[in-house]
Amino acid sequence: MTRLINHKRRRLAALLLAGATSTLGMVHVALAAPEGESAPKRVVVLTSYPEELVSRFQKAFEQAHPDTRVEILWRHAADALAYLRRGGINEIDVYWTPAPRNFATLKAEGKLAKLTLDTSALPPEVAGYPISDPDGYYAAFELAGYGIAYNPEAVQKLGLPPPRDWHDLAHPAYRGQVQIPIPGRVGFAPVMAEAVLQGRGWAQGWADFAAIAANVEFGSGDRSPDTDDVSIGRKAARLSIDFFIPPARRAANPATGELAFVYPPKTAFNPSHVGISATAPHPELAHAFVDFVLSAPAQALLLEPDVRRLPIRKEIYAAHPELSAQPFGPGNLAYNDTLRRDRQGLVAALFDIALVKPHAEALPLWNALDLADKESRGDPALRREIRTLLTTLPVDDQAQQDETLRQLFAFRDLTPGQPEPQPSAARLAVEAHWRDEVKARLTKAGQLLKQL
Amino acid sequence: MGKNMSRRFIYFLPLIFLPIFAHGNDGPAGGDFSTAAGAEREAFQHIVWEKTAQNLWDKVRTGRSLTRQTWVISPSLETNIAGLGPTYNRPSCISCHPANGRGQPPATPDEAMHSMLVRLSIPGTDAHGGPKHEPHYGDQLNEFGVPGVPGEGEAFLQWQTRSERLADGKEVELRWPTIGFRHLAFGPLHDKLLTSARVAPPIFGLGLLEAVPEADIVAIAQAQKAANNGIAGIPNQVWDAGRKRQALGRFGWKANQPTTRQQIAGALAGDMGVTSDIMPEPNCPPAQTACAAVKAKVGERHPEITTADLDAMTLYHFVLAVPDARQQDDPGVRAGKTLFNAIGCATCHQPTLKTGAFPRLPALANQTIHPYTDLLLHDMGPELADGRPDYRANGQQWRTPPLWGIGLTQKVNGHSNFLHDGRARNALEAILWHGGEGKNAREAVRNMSAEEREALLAFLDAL
Repeated sequence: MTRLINHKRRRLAALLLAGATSTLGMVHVALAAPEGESAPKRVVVLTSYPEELVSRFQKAFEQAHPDTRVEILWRHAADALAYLRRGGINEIDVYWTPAPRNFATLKAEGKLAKLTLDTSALPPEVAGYPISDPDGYYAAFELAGYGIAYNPEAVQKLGLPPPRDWHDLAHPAYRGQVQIPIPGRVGFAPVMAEAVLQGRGWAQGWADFAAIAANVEFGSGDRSPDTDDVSIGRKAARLSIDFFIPPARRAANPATGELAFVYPPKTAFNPSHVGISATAPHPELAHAFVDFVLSAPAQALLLEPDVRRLPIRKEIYAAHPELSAQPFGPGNLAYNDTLRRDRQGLVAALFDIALVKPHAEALPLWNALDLADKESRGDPALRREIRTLLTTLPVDDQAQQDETLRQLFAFRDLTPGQPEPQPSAARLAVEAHWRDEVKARLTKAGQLLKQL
Repeated sequence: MGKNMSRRFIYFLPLIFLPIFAHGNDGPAGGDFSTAAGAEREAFQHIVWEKTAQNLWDKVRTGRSLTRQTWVISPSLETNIAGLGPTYNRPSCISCHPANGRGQPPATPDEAMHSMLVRLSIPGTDAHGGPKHEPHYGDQLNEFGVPGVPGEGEAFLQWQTRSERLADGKEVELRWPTIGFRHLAFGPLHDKLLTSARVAPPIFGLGLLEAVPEADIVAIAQAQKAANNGIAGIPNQVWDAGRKRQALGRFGWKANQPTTRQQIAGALAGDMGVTSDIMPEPNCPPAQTACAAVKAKVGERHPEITTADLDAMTLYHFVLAVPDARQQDDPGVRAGKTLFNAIGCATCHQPTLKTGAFPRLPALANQTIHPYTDLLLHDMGPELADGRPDYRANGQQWRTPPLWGIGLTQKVNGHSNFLHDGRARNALEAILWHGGEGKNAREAVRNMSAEEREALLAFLDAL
């Protein structure tokens, strides 16, 4: 039987009684809080980070601030923006998440407080491109890298060396063995696509995608962020974000293991951010939390095996030369996430219409072309022309820069309980034109293949 | 030394001639649902894809995603993951089961409970024979509330210690907690409050345990009783909310849940406030009006997790692999195994069970498994008692926890805290807390030589 006793005056008695448990049997004592003890201070943090990361920072912050509790609210980017706009911004202290567009939007709407950071150890850019807000309203917290997850044994069975760059996955030996997260279906995939498009350039990037797509089946694995099919050897490789793969398997040449990961020479290291609500209920603790997550000890938590993120502090990379990711090293891509946000709807729609939907029609053409290449059959110029037809998309580099076109495909803000807006007639017309163009190119490629 | 050795020899003399494999555990720990990749941090997260029909793979992925998901407060654009609260302990399954593994208690009274909870009740039973909820706070204290709803308060642990001297002179410090409460939002707790602090156990192997025929579990209880040697487990009989009848309890520290599905639904409801088809009622005691008001809002959806998604979570738990035992050829491990059987540990921690027919996932059927549990309730003595009855379990009875995978706890979870409230900081401390029906085994360990003790612990560490 449990008895409640007043903690303040009777703690000793309580402990004695509780101690008697071991000899007296069924005596259980519940301690009440000291009278007058104030409730712990709280800092309310909105995030979309996984629990493995959140819980470590939560516990570490509470240990550093023993009278404080971190209250976590969780929402994905679109849901978070809808929540913050309907008043949630007044309920939270800190916004801490990989959602660059939300931070830019909240800053523009005057909903973020200016940070007061010692930025001397916080690099402002990766490869020359800013990763934190130049005006100081939000700061980069960590980086996500993009690359290729692969199964070393499965790749070896295909008679290929481990992949090193995106276009390595276009080799015909990978037929049916590659997965690409579809940009309109998988949360991280739009940045993944931009890593290729910015790293290789618009035209070459799409050409790579088209050739790699010939090796993809566009099944459920391409609609999922998970690496299961690669880790069990059902697929040989997939484009992936780095934190799905344990750091030990991101080594340049993993000796063993069922899963490995490589960063191509030109890839994206995309920042996530932390900021403070302009109407934070607990502004002091909010600043303390932000200072904490950017501190050297907290940044080191990012390297823990279950967290798997890339720190923002350069000195951590210097202390860990075993890290294969070197986002602050020379020669990296100046990944532009603003560009990604501006055209992500366009890219997602193009990917779907040009690569996913006509996949069944394109695949036999690729098979025929690859066979002809292998046999050196027919006019090489004709084979090049066919390849160009199969790898050219309906939107060229100049056209994709058109702001009106980008806006037609821009992702719309959503409201809980409200249906998703229907696509505009103008967008539907453009999509129909794309489909016709893709079909025409495939038809032409098929005709030319008969001449080989 | 010579005297001690002599005493030990006499003690174990009759035992060394016992067949080593009286409770053999050769073969994979989880039958076909095993993984040999046991030494990794991901040891408890492997899915047995090859034994799972391919048309179920997406469902397994959904279940995994929901198990890892941090739940969202309604309203949300993502209705499939919305429904956290109005009050809750933690927002995700893996908050308390990190890496599908074991939680741990706070080390000091100042620390919050990040992977454990405190169950509450008062004397008496509910309509189905289960614990009677504390009238103002329900059946567990929920620290957090969604915006507009106060959290119920905070529980904390105050640790005390004492020293145990083993026969060979080794000193072992044992600690145990006293539960405290602070910042209670709805007034004092009931003056006849019953409490039980619980850390979360690992979540693999549940399908296999569910597939063990009830008759086999009952037969073990009958055999123990017939042996008349002071060890006599009893099966718990609990309310099966899905089938609306009493059923044998298998899961939870007191075997108070009959199925994996109900165990998951119970955690969703109790820990996260997420309603389901078998637990459709929000967790709002009558005194908590703000809680009830939030839950009754127009547009709120109940149950908050769909039947299909709860089924997917259950399936994910079913297909998780059990880590194989390791170092089975090591002489120390083999000696430890012999000792484990000889001193009676294996009477309750049954090394081998067999699954029967299991139509919900036939691949789990007819498997020989090595969970080291009998799924029965045993009196573990007053020192380990929580004094809180739960269906047929009295305040001193606990279900024999499975031991498979315990040697990986440090690797997976970064600690080796065991027992219901995590008081034991290693396997030896856990053994020394055994009382009641486990007293003789504990005393045997207490009287072991250092070499024997290390062998026994090496065996446990290899599970």
